[in-house]
Amino acid sequence: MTRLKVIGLSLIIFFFALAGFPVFAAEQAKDAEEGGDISSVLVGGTTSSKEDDERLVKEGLVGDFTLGAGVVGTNVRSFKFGEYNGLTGKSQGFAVGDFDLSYNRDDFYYTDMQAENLGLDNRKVYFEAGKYNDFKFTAGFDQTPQFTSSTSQTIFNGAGTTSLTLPSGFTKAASTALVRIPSVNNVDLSDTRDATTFGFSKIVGNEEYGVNFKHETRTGLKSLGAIVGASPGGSAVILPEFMDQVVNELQVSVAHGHDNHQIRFDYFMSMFDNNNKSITWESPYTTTPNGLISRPPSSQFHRFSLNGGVNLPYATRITGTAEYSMALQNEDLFPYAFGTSTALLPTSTANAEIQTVHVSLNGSSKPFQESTIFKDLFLTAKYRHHQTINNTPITTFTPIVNDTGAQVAATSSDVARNSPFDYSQDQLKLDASYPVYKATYVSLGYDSELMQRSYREVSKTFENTLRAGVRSNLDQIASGNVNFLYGDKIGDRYNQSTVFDARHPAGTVTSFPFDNLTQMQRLDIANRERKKVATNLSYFPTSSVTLGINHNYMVDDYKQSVFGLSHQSSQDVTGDINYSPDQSLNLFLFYTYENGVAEQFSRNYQSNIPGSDFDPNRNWTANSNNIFHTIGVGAKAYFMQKKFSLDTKYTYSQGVSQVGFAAGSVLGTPLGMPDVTSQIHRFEAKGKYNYSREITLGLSYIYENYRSTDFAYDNATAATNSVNSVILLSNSNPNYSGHIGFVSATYHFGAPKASSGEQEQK
Amino acid sequence: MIKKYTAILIFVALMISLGSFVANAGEVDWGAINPKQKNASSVGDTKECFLCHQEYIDSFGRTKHAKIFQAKYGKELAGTCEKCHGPLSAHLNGPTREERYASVVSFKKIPTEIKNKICLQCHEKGLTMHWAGSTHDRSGLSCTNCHYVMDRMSRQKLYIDEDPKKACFQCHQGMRAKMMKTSHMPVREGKLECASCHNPHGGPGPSLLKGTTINDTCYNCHQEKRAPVIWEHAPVRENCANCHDPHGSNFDKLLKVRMPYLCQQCHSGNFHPSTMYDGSKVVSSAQFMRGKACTNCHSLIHGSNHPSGSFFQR
Repeated sequence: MTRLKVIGLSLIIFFFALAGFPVFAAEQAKDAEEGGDISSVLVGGTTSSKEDDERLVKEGLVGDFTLGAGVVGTNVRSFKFGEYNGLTGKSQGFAVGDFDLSYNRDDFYYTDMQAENLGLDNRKVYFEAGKYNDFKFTAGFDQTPQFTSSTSQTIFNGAGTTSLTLPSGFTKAASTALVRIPSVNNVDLSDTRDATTFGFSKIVGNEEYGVNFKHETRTGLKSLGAIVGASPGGSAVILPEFMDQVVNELQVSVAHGHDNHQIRFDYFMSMFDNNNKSITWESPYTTTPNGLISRPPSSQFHRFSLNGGVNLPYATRITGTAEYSMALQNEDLFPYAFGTSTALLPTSTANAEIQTVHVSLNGSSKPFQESTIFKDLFLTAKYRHHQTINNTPITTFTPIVNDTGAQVAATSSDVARNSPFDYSQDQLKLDASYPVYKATYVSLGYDSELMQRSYREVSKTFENTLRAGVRSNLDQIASGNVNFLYGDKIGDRYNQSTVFDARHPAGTVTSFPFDNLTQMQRLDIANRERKKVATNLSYFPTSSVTLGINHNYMVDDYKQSVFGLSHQSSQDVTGDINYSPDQSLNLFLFYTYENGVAEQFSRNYQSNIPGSDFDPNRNWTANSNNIFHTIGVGAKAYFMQKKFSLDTKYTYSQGVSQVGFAAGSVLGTPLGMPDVTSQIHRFEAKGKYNYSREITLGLSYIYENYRSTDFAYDNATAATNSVNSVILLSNSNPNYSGHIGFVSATYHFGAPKASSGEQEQK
Repeated sequence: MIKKYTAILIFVALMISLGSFVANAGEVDWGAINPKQKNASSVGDTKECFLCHQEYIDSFGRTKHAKIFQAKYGKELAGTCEKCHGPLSAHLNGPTREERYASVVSFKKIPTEIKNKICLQCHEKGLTMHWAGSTHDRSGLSCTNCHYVMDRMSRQKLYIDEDPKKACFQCHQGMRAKMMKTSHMPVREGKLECASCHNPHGGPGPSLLKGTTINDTCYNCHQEKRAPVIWEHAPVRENCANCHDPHGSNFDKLLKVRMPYLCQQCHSGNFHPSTMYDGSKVVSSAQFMRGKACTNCHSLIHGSNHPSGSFFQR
């Protein structure tokens, strides 16, 4: 299917290209007859008359066409190695086509054609034709795969469909440990997005009109957790989910541009269609015969937006955005449990709708330009309002617990009412910067933000933020900046009953009169103190050496959160060295250290242990620590009067994630979690030899070595029954060593006198 | 509320009307940039620029800029050069080499603000409409920090390098390292670029994002998560970045913190949400820690449209 689309699109592209070619060929032939070079007709090169030399844009075909072939060798078949390009084979050959061509006519008509990775699963084709400063057509095809797991196994038959069945001989049981699995099926998890785009735009005077369309399909297999039954005694199984989704998007725009004011109107429509509304599976557990899980519902989205800007005296510019959108979803609802009647439902369709209103206004100015002292004082102000209006009706649902039997009683804690969550955000940002000495600027800023939320424990939070910074560029010897930020977010009283009462209708009986510990503050609405420092320094000791250091530090403290996240910080430090003695050599080295820390508190309590919710000896703390080291070193060199270039690069990245604990006496002495680690070595070398002005030969080699440990996946198979209540899918052990060798030949049409990238930037 | 929106719209309309009557507010004053060009005039059709700058003009001719300039301003070369370097009569006719050299606006000599103003003559619209006062504008960046207009170094958008990421990594070195993490979007593989999500020229969204919110930006590719559903997970609807780090992570699905600890930062309910899952429970409570951890069961964590989905399980 994908190949057919590529072929189809290629045919369209060549149709358009051919439409322009007869004119081009005839004119080239005429040139040849008049004494020009016949080779220009054959290869699209340009004649070299003096008149042509003095023309800025030369008529004809220019660009590159590359053909290449390569081999991949890995120690195991690895989806991680080919995650985004499909080169997953243990021993695999491949061919790649790549072109970047532009045909320009003297009357400003043009055709551009680009392609990347034809022959691979991540291919991309782009075509554009039109008349400069007048109109253009565009068309494109872009394929994005993601190869997730090549080592997964499932207990089910029917992977690749929406109905999964158990094989004959499968022995169901009440729990995972007692289930008997006679055999498992290997299943590769991967999906791909195929996006086809078309567009047209036209300029008429100061107006530009545009229309763009995108059609995208997403197909493949992913993993999906699925449960039958519910508390108590729910048991799960990881399914191979068959994905079959379609997105159609249309954007229409009208823009008016003028030196002093601009305005643009956009309409955007996005239609999401999920061809698989649900997945059903034969339950491996005796508690329930079958299960059904819903998939994201089909929906539509419409957005109208207006952007404008106006220039005023004193370097003043005002810009603004006004946007209104609505997302609609009205799918038929599934029954409460597999095989039960939809007549039990209080409503048959979702009738869900969220509208969004966005308004923002920005102003920037140098209002004191006639003042000697303050003429360079730069002021900016921004106001932003964003609001959702959730019109989804509030309904009380009375489910069937354990997916079997009758509906729960009206007083059951399982009876639940949906909460159509809404929020609004109002932000004001004020900034000022002033040059205190030569190219040294001091800046100050203040932000305020008011967030208002419905159906949350805190209805309003207000955050004040102060910012200050200095940046300088000292006579091209050094440059740098340092920026500080302090923010303080304070909310209304934290009231758990807002959420609890909204969810549980009056008369229902629950184990506790709350869903969370009463002293817990959820992180997104908790009171928070934030501090940030960012520093960047570059030093140029000689014209050929650059030294740089960059540091970012941020800490969030949730001082009033007795339970929940209490502290979170992150920092990264990077050192860079770049040495470039002349245009023929560039060496670089960098190292980045990154560290992220989180501390969170909780208390283990259970409804069958009276008083446990107030017992401080059941408190526990988890401390997460993530450490990363990344190193890169490389060289790019030109030899033989730049006929030959060699580009080499080595990068290494290592990540270690640790979680440690402290606990109250009731919980015993905790053990730290096994480290989750990952490391990757990558070496890459690319050589290019300019055989002639028209032909470049290339040779590339890539080596990657990846190692990871993750207790969640390592040595977990569907057949081991090793996990309580869940039959797993993946034995994801993505370690690999892989090599890619690649040779290529590039033909340059209309070969330039100085090849791209070789000319010194001015 | 309606009054507030009406007031804002009237204000915008007034500003645009005012702008229509304010002459020259957005135009470049070449004489102010370089006093030597104060009395210079446009030279129109001349090929004299080739005499000294043939190599640069040849490479410039390969850019889309050059092609659009010719279509817009005519084939006269100076008309093109003068759009960015000012009127060139003094430069071409100066009595000495020094005079000629001093009588042109060179991008090596002018401050950032002037460079940007020259580019904004044509580009103060579309993606760059909101440049003035944006984070990068206030940080002192010039267009030439990321774009090189005198040659075609990249396939599109005239970046300074064929790899668009390099423009961003000049300042955002920490992001370069994040891209190397095991869980990452296909940025280092070239299927996405920073500008797939960000508009570095500014806009109405946070963190220079393309959308008006973080979620609006994410929905550009993850449309299935945009649909309103019966059972909303409030922090999900509000901000994807509450749980995900889009630039890279050591954990599946770009999660900021590993499950179940990520979920337990907000959930401490009866039984398993408040249980301490330490190293001693990797076997006995594996259903909460192995495989997909919390989402072994709560797999519709982004919201469910199933009548029995109040716990995001269906």
